Amino acid sequence: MDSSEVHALIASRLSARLERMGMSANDLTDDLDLVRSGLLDSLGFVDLMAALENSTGKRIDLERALDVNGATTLKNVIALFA
Amino acid sequence: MYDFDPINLFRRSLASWPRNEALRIGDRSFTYADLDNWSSAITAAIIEAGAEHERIIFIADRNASSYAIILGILKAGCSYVPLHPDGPAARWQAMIAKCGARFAIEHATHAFDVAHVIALQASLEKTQAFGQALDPASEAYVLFTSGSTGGPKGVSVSRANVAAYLEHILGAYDFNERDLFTQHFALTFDLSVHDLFVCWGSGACLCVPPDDGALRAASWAREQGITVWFSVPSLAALMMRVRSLTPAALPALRYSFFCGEALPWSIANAWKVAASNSRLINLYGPTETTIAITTYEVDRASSTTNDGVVPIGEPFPGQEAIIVDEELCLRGSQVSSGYVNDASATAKAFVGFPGREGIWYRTGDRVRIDEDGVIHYLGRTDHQVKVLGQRVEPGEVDEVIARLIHGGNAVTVPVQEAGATRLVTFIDTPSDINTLLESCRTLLPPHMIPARIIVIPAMPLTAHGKVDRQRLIDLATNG
Repeated sequence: MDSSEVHALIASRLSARLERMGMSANDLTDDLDLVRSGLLDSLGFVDLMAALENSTGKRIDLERALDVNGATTLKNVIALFA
Repeated sequence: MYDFDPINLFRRSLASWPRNEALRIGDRSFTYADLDNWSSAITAAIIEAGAEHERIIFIADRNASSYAIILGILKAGCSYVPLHPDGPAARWQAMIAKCGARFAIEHATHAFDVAHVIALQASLEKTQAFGQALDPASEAYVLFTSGSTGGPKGVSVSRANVAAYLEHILGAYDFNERDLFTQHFALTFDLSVHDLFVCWGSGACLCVPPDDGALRAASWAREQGITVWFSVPSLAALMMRVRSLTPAALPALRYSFFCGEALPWSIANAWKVAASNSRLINLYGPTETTIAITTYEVDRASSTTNDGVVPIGEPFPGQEAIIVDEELCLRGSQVSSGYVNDASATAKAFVGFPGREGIWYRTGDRVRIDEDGVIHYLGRTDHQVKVLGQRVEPGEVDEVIARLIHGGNAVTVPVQEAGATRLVTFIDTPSDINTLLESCRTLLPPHMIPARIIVIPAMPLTAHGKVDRQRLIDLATNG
């Protein structure tokens, strides 16, 4: 899966939440922090990671992936799965 | 008993280890002497403002100042009433009105509507010792829990209640001045009182994790060298899901305490593997019985079960438990005197039983006791649910939403999603859901805001004509 496909996958999964926050898919910019922005809580973020693992078939070393600055930004998440 | 007053404990550690690190938060660090000076300046400001045995409001954000404020208020012989920084302001106002507080600590961004606002700057140089008498019978704090009707209830906990808890815990485990304690619990949650004063009663260092630290809790604990862990089981569940609980992942831990929610065996077993040098203790206790009042130690990972929840164990020595119609009732020096300015809620929950001495707190928790005297948690006698350890009375959410939809019906049920409890509210009046959720955010704290609101034509009823909650849970779960 390339990065635009991963982006689309995330956008579709988050569409209801985006709408609830008064946001749209256009707001899913590279630097958006999915947790700090309030879009997802930590459980929601882990759910998203699990869903992306399932869809892409890629298994991530989550602990290491989360232990970096900006771990929960959109570009970082896309980079993990693209 | 007097010796275990939280302030006397802090002062004892201060006398022995003034230069020990007492608080670590972000990249800042404070010794016992630092915290003592800072909090004494706050005490001076409180006394100057004329507060004697008063309830003092403050916004309990996770800044170093909150810790100094708690110490400062308790040193002044006053009672602290912490407000969660997430508010909302309408709920703060309801809490202030309920407890009748006349004093508040000044806050940079919120103007309190109380008689006296205590300014903190400028008094930093006043660091004399205070001879304030610390009366064990006086109130230490008021913490609010969700109430099924009429908004939040304020639980009044005395210094003697807290001292009884601390005396037990500090006597039961060998904490020392080299320990590093976690501080996961919000300061509006009574389990934080354990964090602060078990730590400071031991001369140890309290380590505050970053706000968004939940996703990297295990690596944070390793970096800090945490030796004493205390959290809700939900945090351990999250750590398990991010695959942090690998063998010996938390080697420095000596003690792990869990409280606030039922502890699933699956998590206890995984924790035992990750924290292989640690004792694992499951604590149980409502705010009304001061922090925790029963205990069960998991000696080894259970080879026979990965299902169900760890027992809540036995009452601390000196505290009494009885079971009346399956409901756990508690009595002893940790049981608080009741709810502030709410005689009817107090009379309902704090009761006498024919043929038994004293006042018992009815927990609303259904339990059974096994042949070894170990208490097992079964569920609730009412609809109360826990969201990340915090009590939520669905009725309180229903009341707020019913008002917003002008008298339609609202029923909130808990739904298990990916190992966590989320709230889903059903309403029978067509409404704009986004507007409704927006209004909820101004009236309810974050953990009480429904994850979803669903409109249905009418509430399903049971054969007895009551709302069929199980049917609603099924509807919410299956989309």
